[in-house]
Amino acid sequence: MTRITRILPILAIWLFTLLLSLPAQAQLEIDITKGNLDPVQIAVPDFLATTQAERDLGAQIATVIRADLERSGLFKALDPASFLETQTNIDYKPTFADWRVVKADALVSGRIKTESASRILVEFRLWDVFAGQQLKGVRFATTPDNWRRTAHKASDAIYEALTGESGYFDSRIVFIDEKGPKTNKTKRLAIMDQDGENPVYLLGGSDLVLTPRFSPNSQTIVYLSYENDNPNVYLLDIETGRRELLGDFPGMTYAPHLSPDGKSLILTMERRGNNDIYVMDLTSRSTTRLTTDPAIDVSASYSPDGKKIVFNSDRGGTPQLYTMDANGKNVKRISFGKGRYSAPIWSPRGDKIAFARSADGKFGIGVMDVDGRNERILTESYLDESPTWSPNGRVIIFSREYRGVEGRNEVWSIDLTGQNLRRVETPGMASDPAWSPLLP
Amino acid sequence: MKFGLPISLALHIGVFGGFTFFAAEAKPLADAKVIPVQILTVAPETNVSAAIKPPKRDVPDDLPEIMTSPTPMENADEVAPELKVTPKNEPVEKQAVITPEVTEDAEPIKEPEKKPKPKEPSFDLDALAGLIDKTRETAPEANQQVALESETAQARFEEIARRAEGAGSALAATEADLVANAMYKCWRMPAAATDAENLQVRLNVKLVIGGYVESVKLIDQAESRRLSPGNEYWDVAERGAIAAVNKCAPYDFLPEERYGVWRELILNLRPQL
Repeated sequence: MTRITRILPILAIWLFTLLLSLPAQAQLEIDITKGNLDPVQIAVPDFLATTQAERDLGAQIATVIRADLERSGLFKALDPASFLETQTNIDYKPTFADWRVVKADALVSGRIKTESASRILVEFRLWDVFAGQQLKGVRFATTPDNWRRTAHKASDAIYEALTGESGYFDSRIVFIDEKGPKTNKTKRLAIMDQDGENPVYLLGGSDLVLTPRFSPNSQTIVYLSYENDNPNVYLLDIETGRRELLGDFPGMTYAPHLSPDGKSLILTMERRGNNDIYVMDLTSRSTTRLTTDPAIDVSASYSPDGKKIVFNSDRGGTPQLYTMDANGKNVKRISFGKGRYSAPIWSPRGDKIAFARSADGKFGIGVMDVDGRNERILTESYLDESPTWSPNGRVIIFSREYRGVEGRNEVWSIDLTGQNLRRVETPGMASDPAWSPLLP
Repeated sequence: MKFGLPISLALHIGVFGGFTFFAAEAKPLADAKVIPVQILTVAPETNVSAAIKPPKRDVPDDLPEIMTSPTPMENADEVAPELKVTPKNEPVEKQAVITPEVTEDAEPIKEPEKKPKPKEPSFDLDALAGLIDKTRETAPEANQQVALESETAQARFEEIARRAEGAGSALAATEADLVANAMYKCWRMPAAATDAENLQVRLNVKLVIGGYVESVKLIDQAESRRLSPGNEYWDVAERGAIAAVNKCAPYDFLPEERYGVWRELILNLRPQL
């Protein structure tokens, strides 16, 4: 009884507040479903400095950052000549109105300080011009000759703060450097920064080298070499230069890929005329057969969690993509489009699979969800192949070959959404790129 | 016995509360009918005829009878010259209809406020006008909830805003379009994000006269975030939405006389890629 009398006033108040709140909802409510996809306009003035040497460095760093961001397609680096404000100290808030006038969405103001002959401090602040607040402040201590990597790291920090995903600028690309006409090419394994700078040959000789693939989580690659006339799988630690032959297999071995934990290798081996996928434990060097179908099963690639494998098989009549568990169970076909599918690669983000497809005499690079849905062909040309993902799963680079004996081989990149198709700078002709994970 | 009072209270609250809920739905209709009242008050004499015109059809049966009634004619004569209207179509008609019409009009007025009692035997236009004038003065507080509470504070826009009330929804749609169009230029959709179409952001935007932003606040954040739990792009999506609102300011294209309507907006940013 007393309970009821206690509850009633509460009930009454509740009802009254409910009634009172009704007229308050009479606000104009607007659904906005369409926005633009324009790049973020970013202002990156040269980093401030006191000495001439610092000033040169500051200008170089800012140039690299502008180029990195612009190359991503998500940013437009504004021309420094248009800037109204010249900051003299990055520790004070910039005059946001001046930056709004030049239509900058974001501002990077940086500074270089020399601490000693071998140590400089590179600092920057990232400002949201329209909110009038700092989004990020970072300081790097480094050696002066390491300025380029510092600039890439700064680009990554800016990219991450503005897009919400990790960057990919402080990374490298391994590729096959090609020289000579199509009929008589020399192919050498080389590496460069993701922006095409600092190209270096990884191997001395001129042995035919194919399909380099990065370990998903370390600076190690596996590749095929015809060093002993037979294609064999080698492991190469890029930091130390240590090279290792991974077993001497009877018959052909190809399409090697390292697992995300770096402990095993997945590859295709030909045994008695049947091509199947095997997994090799790198410690014990024992191999386990994963597929048994009489068809050709190739190009296996792990998911980032190491639990699934995507591969290519012609068991259905034409080469199509299939997924299976890491132990070879639960095989499921995921591609059903017309044409032939090949070279599937699981995105480092885990949500997409990139592949090459040929249909109607054209080759292209495409992406699909891991269950095969939402297939999209991103490029089309005479010959596009060998897709590889950027470390953040946002960009795909691939090799593109042009028609004819003199047709060049180049490396191109495209955004996951099919935007921003552009050529990747390479020293000469290049093919078969493999993108490293972010540098440590 | 002690149960009696609480139960009675509960029942009363329930019944009246429920009734208020349903009655609230009918309010927009009542609002629309406010318009004729206004016209009457502007100038009772001239507007009489105007107010009378539309509902003619409602009383076609009476027409023949009324036509014969001579008494109202004199009144009509007085009205007609002042109006300078050229009522070629039987002034008698209009005249006669006055009485039933006005009462009909007045009845709906009663709904919001029961002061005017036009059913009085001695029908007097002046008296009626007086009553309606009072209605205007007291309207905002007493019976104009639907016409937005914000209007009460904005006396200088009240008049225009109320006049537009009849076509309120249509105009509101235009304002929504204007804002949506502006946002298209300022809002960068989080296209690169995973599950981008579920990154819906709800904002409460307060604007000052001139279209400048007074405040932007995230609302129903937890509820929105449930659409894509754990998505690492939420922060960027929310920041981007707020930045877009700031970037688009000033919203000087919004009609100032409708400030009461757009001074507080709810924006739902739902990317459709």
